Amino acid sequence: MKNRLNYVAISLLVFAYLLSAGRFLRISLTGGDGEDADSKVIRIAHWQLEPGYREALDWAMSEYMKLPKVQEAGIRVEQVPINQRIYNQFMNVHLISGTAPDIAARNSQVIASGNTARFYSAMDSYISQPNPYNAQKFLADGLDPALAEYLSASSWQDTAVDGMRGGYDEILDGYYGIPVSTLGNGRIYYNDHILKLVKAFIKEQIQQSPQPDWLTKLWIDRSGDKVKGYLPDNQRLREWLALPRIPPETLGQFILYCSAVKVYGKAINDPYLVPISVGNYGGNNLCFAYEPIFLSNFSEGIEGPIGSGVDGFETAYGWSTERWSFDDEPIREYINLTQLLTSFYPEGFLGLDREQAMRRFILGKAAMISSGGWDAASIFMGAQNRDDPDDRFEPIIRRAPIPAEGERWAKLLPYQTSEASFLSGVALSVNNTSKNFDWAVDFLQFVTSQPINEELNRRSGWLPATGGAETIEKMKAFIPQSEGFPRSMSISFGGATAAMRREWVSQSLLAMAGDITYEDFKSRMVAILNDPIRGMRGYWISKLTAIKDQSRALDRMVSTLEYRAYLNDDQKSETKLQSLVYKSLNEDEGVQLEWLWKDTYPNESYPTNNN
Amino acid sequence: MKHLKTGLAFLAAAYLGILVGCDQGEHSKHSENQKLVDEGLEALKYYDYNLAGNKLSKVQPNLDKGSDSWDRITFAAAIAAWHSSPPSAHNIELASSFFQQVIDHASDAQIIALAKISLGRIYEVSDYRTDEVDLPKAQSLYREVLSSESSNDLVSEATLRLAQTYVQTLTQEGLTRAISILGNHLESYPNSNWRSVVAQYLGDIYYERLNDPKNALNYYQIALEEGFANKTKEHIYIWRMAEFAKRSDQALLSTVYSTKLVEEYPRSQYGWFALNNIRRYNEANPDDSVPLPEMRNAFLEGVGQ
Repeated sequence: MKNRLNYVAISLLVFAYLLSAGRFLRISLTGGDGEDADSKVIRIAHWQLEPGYREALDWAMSEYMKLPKVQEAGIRVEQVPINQRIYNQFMNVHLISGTAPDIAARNSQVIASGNTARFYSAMDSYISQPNPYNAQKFLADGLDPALAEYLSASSWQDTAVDGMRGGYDEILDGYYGIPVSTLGNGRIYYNDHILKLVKAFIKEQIQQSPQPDWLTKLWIDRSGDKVKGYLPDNQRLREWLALPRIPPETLGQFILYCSAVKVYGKAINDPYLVPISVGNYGGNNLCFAYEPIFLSNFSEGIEGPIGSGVDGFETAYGWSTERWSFDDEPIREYINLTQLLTSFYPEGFLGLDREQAMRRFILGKAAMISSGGWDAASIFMGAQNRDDPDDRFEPIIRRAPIPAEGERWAKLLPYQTSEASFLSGVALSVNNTSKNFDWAVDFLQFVTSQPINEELNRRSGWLPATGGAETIEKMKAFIPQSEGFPRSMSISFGGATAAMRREWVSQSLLAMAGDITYEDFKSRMVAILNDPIRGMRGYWISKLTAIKDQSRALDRMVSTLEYRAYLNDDQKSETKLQSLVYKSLNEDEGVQLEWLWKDTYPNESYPTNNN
Repeated sequence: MKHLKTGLAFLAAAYLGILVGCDQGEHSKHSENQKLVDEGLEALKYYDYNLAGNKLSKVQPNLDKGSDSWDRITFAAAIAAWHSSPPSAHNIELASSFFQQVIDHASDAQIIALAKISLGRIYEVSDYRTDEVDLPKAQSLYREVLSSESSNDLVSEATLRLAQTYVQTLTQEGLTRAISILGNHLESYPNSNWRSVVAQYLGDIYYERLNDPKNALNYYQIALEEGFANKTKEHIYIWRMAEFAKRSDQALLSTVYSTKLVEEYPRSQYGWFALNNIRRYNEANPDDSVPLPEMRNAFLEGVGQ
């Protein structure tokens, strides 16, 4: 019996070995696509696992494979959806080993970010030509004739709503990706059912005489040294209350609404109902919508060359040269507002994940959630597919409101941020080593043609990336708004050194949640900024090194382009060369930074690791 | 006699055999060289400098200096060695020697000028930790290009690099020298393809280093007329011009650039600022009302400028 078992085990081992060897041989012979070496399979790697996206892409692929020329050539298109958590590792390994998919979604974290041109193809020469699938015969019926003419005659690049900026590589000054969808910036999703109930509740409470304490505390009072409350009880408020399905239009109304949800939850004995559902996922944290607006109050005198925006270095430099301080009103009031907002979040929100936050909203236990357009399909689907029809609701979508005149923070939050320079997403790049390069480009032209892009994004519930492609009704609230100030004009530690960024993120979150006082937050930030290695002094050193590295990268591009321009007498290379040389002149070896040091500290030599 | 004939036939056959063999050997060597060149140039196409350097450095010494492609392959080998990573004294010396060979032996003035600009750049920057910058040598090479019979384009590029070496000195004298070099170039080469870059760089020096928005605007105006080199940032440059105008007491001119920005660049995040700029002007100058352009929405219009 024992011997027989041994034979079985050995047979199983031999079988497994043979199977594995056979599979290895097959993969070696076919390059892993399961077909013979001449087979034409185009694989597309991406991490868009949101509901509907893969199905929509499947549809586009199947439409493409129905084209006679594609069938004749035996082309097959397959998608390789990969979890975002392992996408980088997957792409790094396959790019280096030469087995990466033909097309891949661009990700700045992928190893290829520093080697983009080595792994991916510049699309500049393709996007400067019209997209053949936008020829009049392919366009949707009923399209405005002028638009149809524009789409068919314009360059592929000009038919993209973002001018293909979503695929643009700043360092290489070239287009390395073709965006196929537009994500839609952050918005607040309101539960319309709760909105109606709570607004009715406010109407009832506001009529009481005397008004309840929770309500009177909200009325703005500027009579003392400190401003108390948030909004006036005025005609504007009463008019808004009269409209049951209209979400808050001002920050004051929003604070009133959130406060009312808390009181309403107690009144109906529902301890789980919260105003805003939030987890540890930054995209849900509404505080971040207000951060750039508050902190844009510091931008004057801090921005480097006009129009370049304020980067992490300029933020820290501005602090170190006392152009702004942690005692200034905008930053203090920003933390004050965030502490108020987090009081509307679930208890211990930093311990909740993105899924839990979304589930809470879908289950009707939160009056709202903040997120981008990428979560819209999940939220709409969840809200409308509750088991009990009475639990179903229609999310209403709005931007985070800013204060109206007379409300708290009106002077510090005068404008929204502009979304004019939005970038479309899911930028697909073509692998330089693709065996089916031309077909890969052809597929991207197909998927970004007006009728296909419209349908792809209709099915996935995203905003389209191609001009003339209709946006579905539900997504119209995500259409980028042009009005507002440039987000890049705000101070931010987001682009600062890793140490400063980490400290800012962790300490501001603790301050928001009320776990530390503002004074603690301030002293911890000041400590890191004054740290001789991790602070401002170290930043001067690391920034110069980073710019020198970037200068090297520019030199590489410049000399290679010079060579190409010389060999081919190529005007396009010449234009790009001029653009890169201009950039090189301005960034050259950190000369601007050295000038800044000299202007700021004329009697001190530039810091190094040795002084 | 019969043996003699047989012997001669044998020798001839042997000689032919040697000839054929030699030819095959030469042919094989040539093919191998060609393969290395092809692979090296292909690697360079994809910015894989290490691979390109390996291939081209190997084949370059075997090439005949008189051959058509010698200068081009030597130049490519120089670029590959220069940019191979990590940068090292050996690679930089190798690159310098290749560039120097092109300068000394190439017959085409254009590639010689390119090699001088590249070698100048090597002297101008520190490529590795202990690499010393040698600005005088760099300046001398750039000047050689200016006085050569190179194309206008290469003269313009060398001019920009030469001016840059003076900006790098971090002195007022250096700035004055750079301004003079660039200004003279604009006058001397009115048809240069690089006119826009030269003018914009000059404008940047005036504004950023000398806080002179009026002169900065004048040179940006030239760049605008010629067409900015970086199209993706054009809207930022127009916004810059509106600000230059405002800061040099030319408020009405500032509204002209603001209007241009709103009307022509719907994707600019400065559009709304520009609109407010016009509004403020109108408030301050009610008798001189500038028409307010309409804010556009690139997404709704389906245009991607």
